[in-house]
Amino acid sequence: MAVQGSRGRKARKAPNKGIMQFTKWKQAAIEKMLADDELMKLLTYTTKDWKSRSDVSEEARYDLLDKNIFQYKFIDPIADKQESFVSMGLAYFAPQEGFRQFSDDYIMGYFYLYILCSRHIRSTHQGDRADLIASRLYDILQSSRGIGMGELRMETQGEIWADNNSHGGYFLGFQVVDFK
Amino acid sequence: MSREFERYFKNTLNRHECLLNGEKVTLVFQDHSQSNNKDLSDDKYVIAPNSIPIKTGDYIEWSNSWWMIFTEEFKTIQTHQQAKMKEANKIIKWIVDGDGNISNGGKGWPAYAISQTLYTMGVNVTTYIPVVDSKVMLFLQDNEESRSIKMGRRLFVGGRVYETQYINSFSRPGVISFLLDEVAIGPYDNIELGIADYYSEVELKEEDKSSTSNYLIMGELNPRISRTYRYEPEGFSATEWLLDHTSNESPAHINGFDESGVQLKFKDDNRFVGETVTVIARAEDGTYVSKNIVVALKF
Repeated sequence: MAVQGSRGRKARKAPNKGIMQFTKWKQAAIEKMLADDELMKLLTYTTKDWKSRSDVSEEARYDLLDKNIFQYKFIDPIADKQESFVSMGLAYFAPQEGFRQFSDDYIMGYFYLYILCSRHIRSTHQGDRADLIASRLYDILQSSRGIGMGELRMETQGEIWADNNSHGGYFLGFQVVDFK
Repeated sequence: MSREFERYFKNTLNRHECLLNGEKVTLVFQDHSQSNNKDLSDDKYVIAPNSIPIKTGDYIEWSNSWWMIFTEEFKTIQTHQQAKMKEANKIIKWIVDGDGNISNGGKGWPAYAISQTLYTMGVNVTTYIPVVDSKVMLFLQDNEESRSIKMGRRLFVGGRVYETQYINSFSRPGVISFLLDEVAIGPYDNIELGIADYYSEVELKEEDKSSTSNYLIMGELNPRISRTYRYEPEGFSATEWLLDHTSNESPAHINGFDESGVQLKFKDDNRFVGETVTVIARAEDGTYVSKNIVVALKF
């Protein structure tokens, strides 16, 4: 937003702060995901021998967006094929304040990654598919920079199941701290 | 057969030649009602002399369509016999043995399929994801192949895949009815042919395009750590065996070899899981043949 300063010059646009960065953080996460060859194979190939299949092309990686990778929790398309999905969410962002502790500067919240795999394709030669996807996401996100200040740190983790267990997986919750 | 029935059977307008279980016969087809059963299905009566064996589950080919005998009748005055038939609206195919043979000699069996997706949309919307959830009832002739469809067996009906969750072979002897629950299509299903669980894992593997010769190495593509596997040359005799690997240490020991094969014992070490190993054999004419394998978990 341009503002007339006292000297007649336009002030610089205010930097994105706090939850204005939601888009930037999600983009950073997806960038890291699309750069991980193993994660791309795990999401593209649904057979046990995913690891021996050829590298996923750049075009095919982009094809995963809004098909197997979502920028919000709910997975859109009706699951009529046995597939794996990664979706995300940002929640509970609030100032870092507690008893007699006030913060003028920081907010803190959680960045959730949801992993769901069709039960029928979970078994692979190198292990359970959901475990392997969680492993890749942890590797690229834990202690990474670019989402919030400092290093991203996993604070919570658990199992999720959907549709009378036709799909199962994990959620990973990373703590994000940034300027208000 | 009474004289009145004989006269009727010879002169009626609705007598037709057809195939009953593959055999040519003449039968009388009688519409169930003038209003064609309210458009749900084209049910008809089959009227025949007692000499022609007709029973529930029999298939009739008539008027370029398949029909299934659905109900018999025990007539109290046995001048003739009468049965009800339904038009088969789907041909169902499935693999019937370990050799990949398709039901009914590859043709599939005609069936009567009816949607049981009632009072619902056929999609279950959960917290995370909407999943296909329609239901279908399927009627098939009770025979050796249809009896091989057990609980959990997946079948294609109308381009979608369903899991068998209820099998009823008693309500209508001669016909088996199945209740099917829709499930997701998987990597081993053949959508074009409409056959579920068609492919095996080996068939789906990408072709090894690096090999241009007819020489092949046969053996496990995904060997487990700590176990021993045999790899054999096909189309040639091997004079030498080598292992190529990306890590500093080889994931396997060569445990004895001759011109007919090599034994590889994979080390019991998790660090090798996921590694690609190339098994190389040298043929008598000097060419090298290779096979890429990827190490798998112990369990």
